[in-house]
Formats: sequence, C-alpha cells, structure tokens
Amino acid sequence: MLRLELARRCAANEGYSLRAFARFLRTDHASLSQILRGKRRLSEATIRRLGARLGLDERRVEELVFVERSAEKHPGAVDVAAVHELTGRALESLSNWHDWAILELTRLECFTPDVRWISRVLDGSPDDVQRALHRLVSLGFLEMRARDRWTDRTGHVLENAEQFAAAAVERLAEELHELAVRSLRRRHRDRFAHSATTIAVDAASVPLAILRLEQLRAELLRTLESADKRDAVYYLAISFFPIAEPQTEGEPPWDVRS
Amino acid sequence: MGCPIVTWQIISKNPEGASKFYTELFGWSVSDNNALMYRTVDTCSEAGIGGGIWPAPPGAQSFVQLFAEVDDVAATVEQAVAKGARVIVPPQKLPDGDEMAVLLDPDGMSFGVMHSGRD
Repeated sequence: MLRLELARRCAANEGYSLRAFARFLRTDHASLSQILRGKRRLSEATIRRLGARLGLDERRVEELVFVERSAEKHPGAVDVAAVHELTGRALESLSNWHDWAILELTRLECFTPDVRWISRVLDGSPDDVQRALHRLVSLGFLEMRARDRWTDRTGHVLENAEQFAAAAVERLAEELHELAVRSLRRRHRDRFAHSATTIAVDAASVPLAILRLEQLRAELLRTLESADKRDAVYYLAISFFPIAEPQTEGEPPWDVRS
Repeated sequence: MGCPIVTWQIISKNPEGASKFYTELFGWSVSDNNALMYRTVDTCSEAGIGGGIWPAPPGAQSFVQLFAEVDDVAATVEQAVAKGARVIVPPQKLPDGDEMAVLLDPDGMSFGVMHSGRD
C-alpha cells in the first residue's frame, strides 16, 4: 500500500522522492526505505499512525493491521522480494523519461525500430535506450513483433510523461494483484475463487449484465458483512469490460469493482 | 528434445567495458550490428557456445544469465511459475524472430528460456 502510494505520488510529481514521502509521513527516510524493502515490520501503532497521515478510513486501517499480523504469523506468505522487484521496475520507468518517449516514437510514421536511431533522436546513450527497452518489455508496454514492427501495448493515448506514469502505476497495481492471487493459490487452494472468461455478447444486453453484477456484488457483501466473527481479509474484484467492440470510440470500459 | 543451454548473457553495469575486457582477454569477437545493438559474442571457437552482453538495470550488480532452448516458451514459463519461479520478462518475440522470456528461479537466480525462430 505504501509502495503504491509512493508510486502514485511520483507519477503526479516528477520531483517527488522517498525523502519527501518520509517527511509527509513524519518518519525518517531510512526507516521508510526499510519498510518499503520489506526489511522492517510495521507495528500496529505505526500502521495506525501512517494510516491517519494517509487519510485511510478505519476499516482499511483494520485490514492492514490484520494483514501485518498474518504476515508475522506466517512469514514467507507475502512474497516481499517479488513485490519490491515489481515496484522497483515501475518506479524506474516512472523516473526515466526515455521510457515514455520511446513509446511516443513508436507511433510516428518515421519511427525506425533501431536502438541507434532512437538514441540519436532522444540524444541518449544506446545503453540507456537498451535499459529503457528492457523495462518497457518487462512491464508489457512494448512488444517487438518483428524486426520492423515494435508495438506500443499500453492501450492508452499517452500524451505526456504524466499519462505514462499513470499507466505504469496502473500496470504495477495489476501485477501486484496477480502476484497476490498466485501467492494465495499456492497457499490456499480450497479457499479462494478466481476465474475469467471471454465471451461474445449482444451489446444491448450489457447494461442488464452490469446491473446483475452490481446486484451480485451488493448481495455478496451483505452476506459477508452480516457475520459476527471476522478473522480473514479477502479481496473481491468484479470486472466486465469490452475487449473488442464494433464502434464505441472514446467510451470508457465498464468496470464494477469492489 | 532436451533443453540445452544455447546461449549466455553477461548483464553488465558497463557493457562497453565488459566487451573490451573479454575481447582483449580471450580474443572474442563482439558485434552490435543489429536493431537492438545487442552485443553478440563470438568466442571464435567451434567448441562451446557464443553469448551476448546487455546493460544491467540501474543499481544492479553485473551477472551472467544462461538461456535454455525450449519448444514452447509460454508453456515453459507457466510450468516454471507453477513451481515457484517469477517472471522478469514475459514471453516476448524478438526482432530477429526468436522468442524469449527471463525468470527468477525459486532461489532468486535469473535465467532465460528461448525458442529459435529460425528453424
């Protein structure tokens, strides 16, 4: 959660740093760095203090306290190294203007898929361009389909560095979610449900489908929240969005998420 | 078929320096005449295999990655993940037609899998 918040702040402000984040949280940057790297556990009091600084509601704070206590009881359940690595990659991309500039270049008619050409246009070293390409491919932002066909896979029209940063944060959140699901799958095969499918639909039936999903979500939450005893925290996400449509340019995807 | 190690890669903090060092030490030949300016290394010997040099991410130490040839890169990645590996670079077509992916094994050591697109 702290990592994502830091990533969001870096995305919104190019000059934002770990030190600035530590100042905001009223903690020293060395401690914050250790926490972000998973080298230091958070006490319940610290979670409550940081939660208050970040404006989290009480329920979210209780969830975080529960997760931290679970991690203490089951060391290794949370893949800290993997989370750190993912975050590091995304933050590197956020702080390096070459990355979004390369994606911008791929849209030009004159784009030449060649490191020499890119480094000349961006006035950067070939090594830096190679590092940027590695990050973009790792994050799934760039695909090299053929010798002469490098494709921007962000699915966004990225007008500037801020939009690229937002996309990087979005991708980071997706990857962290997938990581959490994989981690749970390994540990609790019988205690989670996760499925996805792709179907062709009649566009006219979509509003009804969304309504049904919202009803299902509300009913499920009512059922789960009616329990007196609560001893686990689960993540529920319901997504339903178009992958391909005949003509709906400019419309946002439908997304019901809890 | 088995899954032979078909190439290696030096991930270097200083690729140009590494290239110069090994070229002078072993008499290897290095060429970057390709779209990625990837430094391919020819050891100038019929024995063993050639490799390449690629820049390390900022802050990372230099290291060597081994690449195993597999029939199906995506399927191998799935199997590896099921066994506790983590994906660093998802299955990806390279400009020359090869397909590759880079992973971390359960101990955190990085390795690659690839399928040659030139067969």
